[in-house]
Amino acid sequence: MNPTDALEAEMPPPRDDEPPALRREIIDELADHLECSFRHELLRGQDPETARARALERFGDPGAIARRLWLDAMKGKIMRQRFLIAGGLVVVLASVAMTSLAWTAMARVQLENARAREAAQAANLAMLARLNEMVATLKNPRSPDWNPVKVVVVDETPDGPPVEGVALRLSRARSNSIEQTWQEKTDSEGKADLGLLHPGDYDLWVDRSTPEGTVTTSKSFRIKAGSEVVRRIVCPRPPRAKAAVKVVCQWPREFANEKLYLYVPFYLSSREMPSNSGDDQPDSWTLHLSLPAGSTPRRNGPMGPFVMEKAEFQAYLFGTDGSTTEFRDGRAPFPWVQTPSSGEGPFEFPIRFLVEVANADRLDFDPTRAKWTPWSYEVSVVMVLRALDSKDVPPGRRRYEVVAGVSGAFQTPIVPNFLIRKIPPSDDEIAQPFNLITQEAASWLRFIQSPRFPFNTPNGQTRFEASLDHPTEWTITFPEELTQELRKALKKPRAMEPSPQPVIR
Amino acid sequence: MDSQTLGSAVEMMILDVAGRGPTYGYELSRTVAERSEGYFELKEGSLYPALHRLERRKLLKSYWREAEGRRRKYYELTDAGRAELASRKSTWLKFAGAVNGVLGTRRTGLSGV
Repeated sequence: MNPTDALEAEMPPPRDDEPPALRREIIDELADHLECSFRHELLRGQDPETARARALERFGDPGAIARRLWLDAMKGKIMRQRFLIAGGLVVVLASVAMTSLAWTAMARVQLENARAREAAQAANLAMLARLNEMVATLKNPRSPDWNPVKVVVVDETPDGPPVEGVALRLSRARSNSIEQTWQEKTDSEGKADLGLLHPGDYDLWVDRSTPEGTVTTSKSFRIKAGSEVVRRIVCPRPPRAKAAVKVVCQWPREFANEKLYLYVPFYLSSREMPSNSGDDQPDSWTLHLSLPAGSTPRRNGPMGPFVMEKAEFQAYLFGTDGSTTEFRDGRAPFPWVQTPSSGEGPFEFPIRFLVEVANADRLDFDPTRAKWTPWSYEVSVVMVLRALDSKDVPPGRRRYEVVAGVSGAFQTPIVPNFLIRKIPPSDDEIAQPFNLITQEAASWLRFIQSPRFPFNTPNGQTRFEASLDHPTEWTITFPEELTQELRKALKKPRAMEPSPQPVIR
Repeated sequence: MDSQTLGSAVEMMILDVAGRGPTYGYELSRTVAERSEGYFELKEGSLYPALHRLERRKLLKSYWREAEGRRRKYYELTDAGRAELASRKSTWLKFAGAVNGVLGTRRTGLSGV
């Protein structure tokens, strides 16, 4: 083997990043050095073998020198490669670490999500169980929290037919909250389901309406825990037919020569149902009559005196001079009602009479002519009026003044407000009676407060029933308190002197 | 003499020989030996790594020529090598003068080398 081949064998394995000439140049340079050294030995007279041996001896290990030179030349690249490898390893390790961390984090998140799902599922199951309990509770009529309440309405008697369309309103007792009000109407079987309610005290209002009017009532009752409430209401119907009534007024004889009139309003009273209707029935029913067809405010018959009704205790007396006397406390307009100087025709609630004492006997109605709605009536106030004008003045033009009055059905004093109207009402004002309230106030008169009811029926009551079953007769007796008050009033000067000539406007 | 000082001295002698004209490894070793009167005999294991190191540091540059029927690598001093040689020679002479002064063996003839 020549020196070149020997050096070639001593070199490290070739690398891809090795400069192409590096290996050759190292070998050529060292080979040149050996050749020069060999020739130098030859020149010194050595035989070739000795010259070669001495040249190699001087040189040392050419393979080791060649490897060192190669390594010195490649050190940078090798180090760079090692750095890259190390960097790559670091990157790989970092990636592995990051992946591991990410995997760990993801696993933790998945674990937490699984726990959250389990918790949510448990909460949902608990809620579902609670809902099932609530549904079961709602379905259980004996649940102490929810109690079914039903109402059945029958007509007139406990075994009467069902009443359809009766409006029911139920609310918590002592509560005006809309949220705590339940409303229903009875069906064709007279039934109304008011749902499930909590135990407690409730108020039930009942309204039954017909073309003739509306009957209403209210009843309080208690819902006990775990109970099932079924209320059977015996409901009267608004009367359709009319009943015959005979009313008798007994004037004291001492006032026979006075030009006095007795003003008597009859009021529809509350009606009690028969006692056999049941213990849980409403105490009484109130009737609100519908206005008769065509009963818009109007004048009936000859001119005055008229009483214009607006509501309870609301009336006007018109004198021939255009004065207006108003009874207060009106709310809703009511038709003009002719005072029953003749006592003819049907008279609706409230029924008022203005009767001259001289014609008191005319208050004794003919049952065939005076028709009353069959219901309960009562009288709570009466007044004695005195005419200021002679009978020569037509009834519609006469003036009156209140000389005495008495009220016994109320615990508080009644102070009517009398307005003197200077100008008679026009047809438009009559059509809209409320406009008359704006009239000028002129004087006040005070009522006598009677310590007892002033009127007595044959059975000692201040109320009576107008019945279809038999003719009704009711006698108005003059209470002693009113008689004494009237005596005093008649001795006093008149508040208004009679006018020689009536003023007609 | 430690290896670091010796290596620095070898490099300085290589630069000095190359600074006198293009030369190659075997000739350079022979020149050093002759000029040091046989004191410095550069072994190939030290000579060629030093030559290649100085070349990588741009203090020497090389080229190849045909000689005696084979390729030969010649080295010559670069400008950077020349500056480096001057600096090293100055440092060396100061060091050697100081040492000789202490030892009382100062030789004036070396100042012109």
